[in-house]
Amino acid sequence: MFFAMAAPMDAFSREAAALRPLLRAVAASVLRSSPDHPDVDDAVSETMRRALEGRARLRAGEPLRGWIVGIAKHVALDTARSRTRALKRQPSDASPDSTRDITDRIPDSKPSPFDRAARTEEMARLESVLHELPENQREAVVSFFIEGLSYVEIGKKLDVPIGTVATWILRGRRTLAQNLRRD
Amino acid sequence: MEIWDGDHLSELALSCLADAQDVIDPVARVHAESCASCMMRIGEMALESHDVGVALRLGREMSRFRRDGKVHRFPTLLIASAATVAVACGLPTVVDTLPRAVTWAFAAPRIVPVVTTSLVALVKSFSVGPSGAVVSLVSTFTLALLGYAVARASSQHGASR
Repeated sequence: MFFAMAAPMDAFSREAAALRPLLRAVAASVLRSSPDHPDVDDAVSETMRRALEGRARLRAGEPLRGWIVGIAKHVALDTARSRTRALKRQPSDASPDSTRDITDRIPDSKPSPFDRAARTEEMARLESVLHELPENQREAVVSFFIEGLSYVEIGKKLDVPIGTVATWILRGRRTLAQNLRRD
Repeated sequence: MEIWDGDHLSELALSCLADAQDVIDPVARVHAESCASCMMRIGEMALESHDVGVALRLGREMSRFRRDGKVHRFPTLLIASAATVAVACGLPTVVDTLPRAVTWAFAAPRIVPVVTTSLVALVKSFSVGPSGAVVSLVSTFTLALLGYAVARASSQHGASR
């Protein structure tokens, strides 16, 4: 154990460790808990463990950020489900108002055929919304989300300042997210 | 870039941090890690960013799959071949019975016995001699095969749409 901890971190581990604050934010947001809550800590540690063990599943060219945020989301949802189950086992001790929010927000992880059909429609709609975005926003969004470029790289590619890239991505993402939530 | 919005980080700064972009002033980064409100907003934005990214990549893969996928065309050639075989096999009989059929058309009052006679003649023409039976069998088998191929190709065409 000592040797494992003392071993020098490779690039993947370093990059993943740099994302810890973001993972904490994601877990806190899913769990609706303070970022200092022990459950948030546990979720972040579990996310890091799964990421390090499953690093081989990260496809070439796939951005680490998106992949690891996806793991954090699932880990936090699992934690929220465990919380709900524990509270159901002890109904007298639970405060219903604090749990209802989490319980209501947890979706069933297994998509039904209807979910899959809806998802397919959603993809098609999102693609058309993407094409309706102003050209600069679309180019920034595609470069960031699909090509996996950083803001700095996009700025160089489109020859615009970082602030402009950030604004385009923020606006483009908001439009797309509103469309995803429209159902 | 506007980083602050009062005591908290601006939407733009939160968005940069949610996308894990190292383009923000370190002071803002330190604030984000110590401010629960900003942290929650970053988490929400990161989730939003993740969902949009996944949906966009999936959509792109789906459209690429649709574009690159094999397109099954309607089996026009097969149907034309089947029709040609059917016409070729039926032609001797048609040629043989055509003059009589014209006569029959003008003999409306006697149509029922004539139809009966022609049906009998038709059956006889196929059953007379071994060559007639072979032609009949081969054409039936060929048509059945072509029918199967058409049905198969049509179902693939329907599935690919």
